[in-house]
Amino acid sequence: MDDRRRNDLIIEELRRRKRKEATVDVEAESLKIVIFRLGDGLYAFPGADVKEILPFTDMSPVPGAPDFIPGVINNRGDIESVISLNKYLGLPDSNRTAASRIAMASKAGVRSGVLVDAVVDVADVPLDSIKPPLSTLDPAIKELVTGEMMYNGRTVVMLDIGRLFEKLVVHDE
Amino acid sequence: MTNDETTGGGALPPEMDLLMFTAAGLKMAVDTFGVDCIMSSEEAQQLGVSFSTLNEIFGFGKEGSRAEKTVLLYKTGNEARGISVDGLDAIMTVPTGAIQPLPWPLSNFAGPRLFWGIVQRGSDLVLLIDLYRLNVLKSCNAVTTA
Repeated sequence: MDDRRRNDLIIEELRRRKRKEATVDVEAESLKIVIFRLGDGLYAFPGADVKEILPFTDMSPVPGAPDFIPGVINNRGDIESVISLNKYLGLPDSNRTAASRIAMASKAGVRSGVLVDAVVDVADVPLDSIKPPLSTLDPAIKELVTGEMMYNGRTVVMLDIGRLFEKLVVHDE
Repeated sequence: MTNDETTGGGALPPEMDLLMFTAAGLKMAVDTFGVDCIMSSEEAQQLGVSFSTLNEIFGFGKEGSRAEKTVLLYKTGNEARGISVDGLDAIMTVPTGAIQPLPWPLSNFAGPRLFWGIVQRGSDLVLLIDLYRLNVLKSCNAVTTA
């Protein structure tokens, strides 16, 4: 094999590899998610629906509110409701700790704070790593679940904030 | 129902005088325009005035004695009605524009809709009671001292 032929082969191989990498990049379409903890479980919202994550702050309770809305907060001059996901999903209530966070979520023109026990990570995950939800999930949670994925060896349940908000509209009295 | 009904049917003024008080451990206020007079719970009972505590209205459960409370009487036709509060705080003049509506999704639920707005006072969020809606509720589920 002369030098010219050898160089051509190398260039061709490099191009092939580059095309393959490009193909992989396209295939590995990713989704930004906010992974959080409720009790012992890990859950996630699509990152696009979470506008900001606030440290836990004291809430002002509003008499007559359902128990899954523990109160309202002042977020830089805007009064916002806070939804306790633990309560809404029927999970055991957690103590507020320094790790507790309020995720300000927005979808379909409405917004609300969502109280979680801790924000674990904000990560980009390949879409194909998200699998269909298990059929054994609790019905209260299942309605909000879009899928499941593994994160550091643990199952993360993907929740749809839009479905949660839709259900709160249905709750309208 | 609009807030105009609470304020007498006119357009909202640029500022409102709010009577601030504490009830059920929470900071609340009413538009002073809607308050007829203020008396002790003992006086209200002697006059046979129907009044409720917010605990009774919202079903917080049994609370302490209804005595030694302050009763705010408000306008409701020819009948005097009142709510009892734990203690008066102050009268505060606030720009109407500083009052925020109840945020979603709280505004979807009937109970919280007894509050027509929220205003910030220092680090406190003060709930503004809608006396018109309160009266409608009490008409359906009146609690009297008689």
